[in-house]
Formats: sequence, structure tokens, C-alpha cells
Amino acid sequence: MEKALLTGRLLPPPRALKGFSRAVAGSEFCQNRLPEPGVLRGLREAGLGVTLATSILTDAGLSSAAALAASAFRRGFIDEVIVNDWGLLEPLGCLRGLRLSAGRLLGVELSATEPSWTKRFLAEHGVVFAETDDLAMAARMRALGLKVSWHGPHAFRAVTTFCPYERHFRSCCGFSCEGASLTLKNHHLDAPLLLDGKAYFTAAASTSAPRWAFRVVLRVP
Amino acid sequence: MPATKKIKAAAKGPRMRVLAGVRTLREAEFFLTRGADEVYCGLPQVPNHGVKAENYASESELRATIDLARRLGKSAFLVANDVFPAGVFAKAAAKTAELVKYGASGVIVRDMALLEYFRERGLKTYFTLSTLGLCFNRESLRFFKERGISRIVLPQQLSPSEAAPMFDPELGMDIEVFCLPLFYEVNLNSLCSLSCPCSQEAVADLKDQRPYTCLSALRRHDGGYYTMPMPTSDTLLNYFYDFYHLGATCMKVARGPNGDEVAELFFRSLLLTRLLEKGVSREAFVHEGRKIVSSSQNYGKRYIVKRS
Repeated sequence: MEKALLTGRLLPPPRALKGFSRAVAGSEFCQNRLPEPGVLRGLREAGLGVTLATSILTDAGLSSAAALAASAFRRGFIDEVIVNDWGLLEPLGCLRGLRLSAGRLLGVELSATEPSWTKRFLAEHGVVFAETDDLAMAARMRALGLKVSWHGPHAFRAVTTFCPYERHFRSCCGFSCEGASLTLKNHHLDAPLLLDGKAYFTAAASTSAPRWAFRVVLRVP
Repeated sequence: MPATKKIKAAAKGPRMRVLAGVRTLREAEFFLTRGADEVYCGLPQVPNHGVKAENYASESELRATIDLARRLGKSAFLVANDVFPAGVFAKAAAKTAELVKYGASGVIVRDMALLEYFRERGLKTYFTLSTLGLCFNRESLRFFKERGISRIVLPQQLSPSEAAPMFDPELGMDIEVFCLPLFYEVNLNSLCSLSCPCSQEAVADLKDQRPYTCLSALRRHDGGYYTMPMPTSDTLLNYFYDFYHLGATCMKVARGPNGDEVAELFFRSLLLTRLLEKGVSREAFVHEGRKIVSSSQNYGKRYIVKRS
């Protein structure tokens, strides 16, 4: 099973990369957290396979994400992109050899849609992986013939495009969320929520990946 | 501040179509004769993103609503804005097609497999993409248009400046918006699994109601409290103003399990919409709008209470 590190927007120190064979840079939940090309190059030069994670995108975000993916792929910095926006599929489809993964947000749709349609759609668009933090969804994605990339130890529960830190929708920001995760509780919640960027997470029911998962992706501690 | 602001006479703007979600023939008749151009209706056997109490109790009543809309020269849509599970897909898709053939003006969808079902059978109807379809950019909109969509309900979590490319006349899509100052969702509805009363049946006592996590005060680990944020009422009034002037052609009032509440929101939404159509300035619209909007609502945040 491949072991990957979710590195986000920035290049972590070399010691943090030890023991991992792949880095997942960017974010599935915020279009503003795209890494700079130099970060992708740095991860590649550290000997890791590099996946670019993307989120739901506005037109501005789509333009940035597509341009970054194309440039980084052509320069050999990345070999995979996690897609969470329908509109990104066609621009990336032109990049022969780039592997596509259905992200956790798009996966909510794809894993539930009628399977014969979904299989044709995935084949048509060259999607070969699926990201998930939910065991039931992982099983459905596996049944669709996708290689499953398991994210732990936190499972996403909700996402917003209205930044909880800076309180706006803008496609450029001050990255106020970085290093500012919040743990949230009240007596109604079964378990605490973790706010990280624009998404709310809980500790996954299982912190272990299913035995048959292709990859496990862990967050930077 | 003056009690009323003098409204500067301006050129009237185009009229927006008004769409209201309904649960009964009686509600449909009420809204269609009081300003609504369209209604949308759900049936439990066609998967849709509404609580049980927001759906019609019988297919015969829904068909009667289609008949009523036709008599009034108006429209009745079927709402099918959930992903159809594999186990029910064939039956649910067939039922959708049957109601379209009967005379439903169109279908509000989320599931692309349903679009494909219609296309494979050569069945044509007017498809509206639900907010749950997660379409946030022009490229996605073109993607859905190629699959048969004619109208999109804009996601509530999209500012006018971000949405502007989707109004491109070259795409030629009808664009529908919620009356945002009254209908706004804190988190993306289709991707939220936080605790919520929406999955409950009616309760006799509000004490038994599950709380909305997105409206609750949550204690931070570093001290103090946190509530999930949303734009201010003024911001949402401005957004509604901008969407109208960008070219939104339809305004949506969501379904709800409490008819009185839906009626109240309908009339408030209608007032705001008619104000825009009068051609008032932004300042005047926000000024008057503040009086109409007592607080920003959250889409889907309805408490289902049994009436004795």
C-alpha cells in the first residue's frame, strides 16, 4: 500500500517527508490553496510522486488550476490530479498520461449514481482513482473498478465556499486558515469537529485504511 | 435615517419568473394565483432532496397540480434533485418520464444518469440543474448544457462577480436564483452530513428536535465560541440585486414542511423581486430590503412540528 502525505499549499521540511513515497499538494476543499509550481518541483526533487489536489472551482479558480496542472505535468512535477469539479475534467483530459482521481466531493455524486452510467463516465474521462475517507464509499468506488486512496484520520462532514476565517468568497486571500485549525464541540455533537480551511471534519470511524486500499493519505501533523 | 427613502424613478427592468415549491394541490393553487409563474413538486418515489413532509402525499394530487398549472397557463415542474440509487433507478426514471409525458413542464435534476436515460429514449423536456449539481463555473455549465440542461439554479454560495461568466449570452442558459436574503445555506447542502432535523419525521415536541449544527454555538478548543459564518443580510441583498442585473430570469422560493412559513417567505421574496423590477437603485433596494428581510434564512432549515 502506497503511503502519501497531504502537504497542502506549502513545501514541508525534508524530515516530514520521510517514510512517504507520494505527496498530495493543494486542497480538495479550497481553491485558494493551490501550491506554487516551485512547491511541486521541490516535492518531486525530494523523490516523491506528486498529486495535485483541486476543489470545487469558480471560473477564476478553474483557470488557475487548469493552468497549473498543465504546466506542472508538462514539466514532470506531477503525474496525478484529484478532481472535484466537473468543469476541470475536459481541460485535463487533453493531457495524455495524466492520471485523474475522483475527489471526495465529486465522489459523493459518482459513488451514488447508477453504476453502469458511472463506469462509462469514468472510462470516458480517464478517472482511475478515487479519494475517500468513508468506508461505504470506498467499497462502492472499488466496485466501480477504481483504485482507492484512503484519507485519514479525519473524515469530512461539511464544506463551505464562504471562508470561515476571512468571511468572504474571494479567489485570493491571506491564507488565514493556515496553522489555525479549530476543534469545535458542544453537547449535541457525538464527536468534536475539526475546522480546517473551508471544511469540517471528524475523526474517521476507522483510522486504518481498508486492507485493499491502493494508497493511504495522511495529513501533516 | 428617513422612514422611507425616496425611490428614484428609473426604467423598469425585465420581469422575473417566480417559482415556488409546493406540497399539495391547494398550495399550488394558492401560489399560482398570487404571483407564482411556476411551481415544483416532489413525489417520494422519485428521489429528491426534500424531507418527507415536503413531498406530495399522492401521485394523483401531483397530476391534478399539473392539470391546474396548464389551465392557468403556468408551469409545474417535477423535482428529482437527488442521485437515484441503483436499486430504484429504473423505476424512478420511468416514473419521471411518465409524469413528463403526462404534462409536467420539466424536471429539476441532479443525477446525470437520468439525463442520459431521457436522451437514450429520445424524450425531451426542460431540465433545470439543481444547486445540488455543484456547478460553480462556466465550463461546468457548458458540461451540463451538453447533457441537456436548459436552466441552472445558481449555487447560493457563489458571489455575483464569480458567477458573472455563467451569464454569458453565448451559453444561452436560463439562470435561476434563490431569493438569497431569505434563502441561504451555511454549508454546501449536498455535501453536508452534520446533525440536522431534515432527516427526522415530524416531532410532537420541539425538545425532541435534532439541532442544526450549522446554527449552533460551538465551543472552541482555545476558548470562546464559534458559529459557522454566513454573509450578512446586506451582502445577500446586494447579491440578489446584482444577480438580477446580471440577467437572472427566475427567482426561487424553496419548499418547506410548514405551509404558513413558506407563504410568508413567498410574499417577502415576491416583494423583493418586484422592487428590483421597478428599477430602483441599489441603495434604495437595500434600504427597502432591510425592512422586508428580518434575518437571513437558511435554506432547508425548517422545523417540522405536529399540529394537534
